[in-house]
Amino acid sequence: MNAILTIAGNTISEALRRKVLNAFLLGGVAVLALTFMFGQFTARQELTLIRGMGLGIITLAGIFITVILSINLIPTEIERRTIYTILAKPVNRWEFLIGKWLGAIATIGVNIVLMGVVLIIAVALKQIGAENPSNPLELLKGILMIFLQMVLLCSVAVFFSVFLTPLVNFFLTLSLFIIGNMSSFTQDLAKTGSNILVKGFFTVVHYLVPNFGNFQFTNPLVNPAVEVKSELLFLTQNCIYGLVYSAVLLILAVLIFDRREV
Amino acid sequence: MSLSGSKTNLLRGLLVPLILLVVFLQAQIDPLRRQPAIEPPQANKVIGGLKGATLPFEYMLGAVSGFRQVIAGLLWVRSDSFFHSGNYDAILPMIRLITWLDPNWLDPYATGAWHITYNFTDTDQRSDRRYLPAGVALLNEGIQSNPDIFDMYKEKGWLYYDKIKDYNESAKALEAGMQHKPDINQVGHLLANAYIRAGKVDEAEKQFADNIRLHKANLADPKANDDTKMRSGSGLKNQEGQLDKLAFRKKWRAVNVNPPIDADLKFQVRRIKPKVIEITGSWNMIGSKGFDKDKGIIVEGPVDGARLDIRLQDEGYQMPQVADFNFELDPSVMIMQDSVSVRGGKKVLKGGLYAQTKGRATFNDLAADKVGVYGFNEQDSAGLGVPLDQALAGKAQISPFGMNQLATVAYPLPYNSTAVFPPEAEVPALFNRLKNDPGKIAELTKKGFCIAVKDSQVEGTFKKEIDMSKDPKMYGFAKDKYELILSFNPRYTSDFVKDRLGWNGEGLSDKRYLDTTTIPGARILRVKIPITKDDLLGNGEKVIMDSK
Amino acid sequence: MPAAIDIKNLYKQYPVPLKREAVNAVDNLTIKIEEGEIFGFLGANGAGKTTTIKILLGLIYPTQGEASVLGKPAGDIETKHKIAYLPESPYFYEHMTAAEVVTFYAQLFGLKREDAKKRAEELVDFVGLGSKSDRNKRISEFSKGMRQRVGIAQSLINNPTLLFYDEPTSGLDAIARRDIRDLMLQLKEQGKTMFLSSHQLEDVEKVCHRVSVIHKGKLRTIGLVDELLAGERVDITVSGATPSFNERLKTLAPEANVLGGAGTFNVKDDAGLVAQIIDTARAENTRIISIIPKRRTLEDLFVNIVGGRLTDEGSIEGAPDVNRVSANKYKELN
Repeated sequence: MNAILTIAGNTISEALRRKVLNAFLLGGVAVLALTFMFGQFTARQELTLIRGMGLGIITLAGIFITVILSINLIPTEIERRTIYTILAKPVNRWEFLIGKWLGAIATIGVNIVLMGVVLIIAVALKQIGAENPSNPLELLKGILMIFLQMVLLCSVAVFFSVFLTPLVNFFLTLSLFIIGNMSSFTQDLAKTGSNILVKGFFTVVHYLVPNFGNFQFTNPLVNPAVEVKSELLFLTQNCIYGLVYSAVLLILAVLIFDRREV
Repeated sequence: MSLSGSKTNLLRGLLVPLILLVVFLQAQIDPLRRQPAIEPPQANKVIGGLKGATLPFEYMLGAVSGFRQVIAGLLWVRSDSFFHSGNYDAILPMIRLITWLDPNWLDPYATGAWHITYNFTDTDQRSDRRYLPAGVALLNEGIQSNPDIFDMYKEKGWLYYDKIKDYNESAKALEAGMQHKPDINQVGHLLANAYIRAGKVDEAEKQFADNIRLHKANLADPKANDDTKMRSGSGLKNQEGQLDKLAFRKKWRAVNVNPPIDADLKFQVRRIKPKVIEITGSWNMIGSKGFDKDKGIIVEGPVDGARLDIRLQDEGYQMPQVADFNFELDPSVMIMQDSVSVRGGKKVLKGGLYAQTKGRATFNDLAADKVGVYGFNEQDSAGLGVPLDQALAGKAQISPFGMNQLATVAYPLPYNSTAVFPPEAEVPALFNRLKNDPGKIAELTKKGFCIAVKDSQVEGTFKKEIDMSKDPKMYGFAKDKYELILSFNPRYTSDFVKDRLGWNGEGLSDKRYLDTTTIPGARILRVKIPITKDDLLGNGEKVIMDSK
Repeated sequence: MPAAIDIKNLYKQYPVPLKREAVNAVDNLTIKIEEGEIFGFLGANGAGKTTTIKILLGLIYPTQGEASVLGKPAGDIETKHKIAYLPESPYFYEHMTAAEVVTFYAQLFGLKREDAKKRAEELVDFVGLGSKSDRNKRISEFSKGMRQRVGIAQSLINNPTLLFYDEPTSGLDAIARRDIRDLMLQLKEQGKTMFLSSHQLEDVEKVCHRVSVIHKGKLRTIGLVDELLAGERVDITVSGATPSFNERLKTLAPEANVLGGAGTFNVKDDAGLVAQIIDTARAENTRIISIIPKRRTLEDLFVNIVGGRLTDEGSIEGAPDVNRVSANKYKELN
């Protein structure tokens, strides 16, 4: 455990120094500040825009931070040969992999939380004196979902990174993110497919492709008046889904990485 | 290799149950995430788009990969800029896409419906009523997607109330809105007024009482926030006032409508040049000039401001019900709707007070207006009477009613008084006081006040030129037969007119144009004039219709 | 007591992309290294040195054969508590100071943060990076020699019994090279076992007890340094050599190299031949000043075995090295 935490800690401190990630973070925060520019709208519309755009920007910045961080997590260590000195120490390969993953998750978490806090403050400030203000802390639900989405995305990228080059990984992970977001289409196609083969294919796609779309919880946050049925159950199931799917990917990554020559 | 064989096998073995768990969880999550509150089914329609409303690829990609709200927001910001530049045509496809992308966002429906029904106008600011069905359809869509929120019902209620003037439909929408935690100030208040205009006075009374009860409940609710309490406070005051007014209006309108007035509507429809018509006429529109809540109408007479609706449309056109919002119009349909108000009706009886306007078009003196003093121009007042100073010097006899008028004009009642005239007993004293006050006499005389030496009555007139030649998009003249409908519905006229004509036109009559069937329960003025395309497009002047 | 390192018939093959054949990076290697030995693993770049070390550390896996380290199979996690590795041109997290890097590695051994810091301070001092200015520098500001010292520091955290040093002096200037060499000599004195891979002949010669030469994945020679370099020739210096002596010397030892005008020549180390030359000198009135058996240089040995001269950069002059090209290509494509 000590080794995992040491590697995770080191990953965080290194990642937070990477300018590219800071740039995304700053960009995210800057654009959040830009959401103050919807002054020409009524207060209610302005809040809708800030909430919707804000969560979108956090997601977008989250995707780039996650993908760029995760696809390079292992390859960089190999390329720089730092992995040799680490694995020459009494560190299991799985410990190294989990440590790197944990460090990335923590980094992503810090970024998302920072952006989320900015958004919540922005919304809270905008709501001062507004009619029927909604609780800005509700946004935490969306931020949690974005974080879990990124956990899953990180796991996907780490899984690919143990056997693919970063460039291939980049496109593959992003493609998978988009496909995984369109899972309501795959579900529909699985139901309405023209023949058994199509139905079967999309059923498999729907259940096995990581369903990033599960984590889209923006609608009820942007439109606080809508009532979500079984919200707690939904959010809990999503959390479990994200973590279990990540576990599957990490186990696969560990199994492959264990045989991998570095 | 840092993993032993047994550990590797353990991990491999773990994969199977974990993957099954993933599949199981997905099956659990699917129905929950696909509930409309989280993932509205309409959102997927953007993939197909609509003629004239398709998303650029990158927007579509963004929309389907979790950035629905961002894309909707971007489109909204963009459509706002189009709104400011007046490019309304560009807004409609965006509204279409935004409400698909985010069907729970209420503003685009409300703003969109408003754009559609109000902002497409001809050069004279007449709105394009062919869009009304689309506006209703958009709001219906909003209701369908947000059935548990009052806002869309309120918007629909307002559209029917203010624009379409179908108060039964308006009340229906607002009644539905009342079922969903409404803002009473918005929904409840409007509903009561919709009932009034629908001729359902008892329902209106009940609604006012309901509103009062609901406001009081809000004020007593410890959980209600300051904003709600403040709004309920002012709402309560407003509704108590309305209910009070309703009570005495109910009482007096039952009495004051008799006998019915003869509107004596006369009009002429003339083509001035192709696509330009002029409607002129006169109308004896009597309303309440001075009203006392304890005594009803004290002074009645011709009033300004009652409006005659003018509608030119394809023969037999009825506003269709549209199921789906689509912003494409049938360019062959034509509807022109306008209204004209009646002005200049005046009346004075022998010994009564009137004012000489001396070249001024109007006579503005609220205190005098309230007691039935009309302004007569030089032409109308020739030989009508004598200036006040001369009348007081004995050149004309002042009637008792004239004395009341004079006492009130000379010494106006306090502004918050509900009475029209001073108490009967005080009038002689006030009149004597005036007679002994040369300064006051000179001042009133200088203002143009005169005493009539004979009776005189002038009917109010109207005149409207309607130019349909500048907006070929709105007025295509594609059909051969049209109908011009002139109408007056007392249900939505001003209260000072309704005080005389009644809630439903009980006090209204016309030898030729009284219509009691078009709007059940209401006595309205209505005339439908068939017009041909040639009538409208022909060259030169032509009288299309003359009621005389 | 088991051998520190025991390699038996080890093969490592890399497939050549787009071809069916494979390149043998390590070809039937068998080496046994005892504890306390400083073992030199000499070879040109691409000879298979690093591959062998990586196999011993469990970073890559052999195609065939066995390798054990401290009695356990290569890559065993317990063994790693007792060994150390200094890779060629090590890279460390650039944003850290030397002490931070060593602390990080120390924590990987399970040391608590405070203990790890203490240990790091000691080691940073030991490798000569303890000065105030060096302490505050980040690795990104370090010279190659300083980085190498950090590498040595991190290799000593666990007070290892067995060290794998891969090209510890390559690419360093003369002074840095001497300093590192001195550090290695200190470790030698401490009785460490060291597997020193290098193409720096001088280092190997000075530091190692035993040395092997690997070329194209194959072990070409192995033995004690003293034995391998033991003289095969003798320098004989005479004065006043008469022409007839010179004449007879030519027939006795036709391959004798005349080394200097002073009359030094070099002949095969053959007791009979030397005796004959002595006799001849006496007979021909030539005075023998010295007879010195000459030790070979490692360079001679290398040239003898490989057929080319090793350059400072580690490549071979005069002998095209097919293996290296393939191995590098493989690395690139991997």
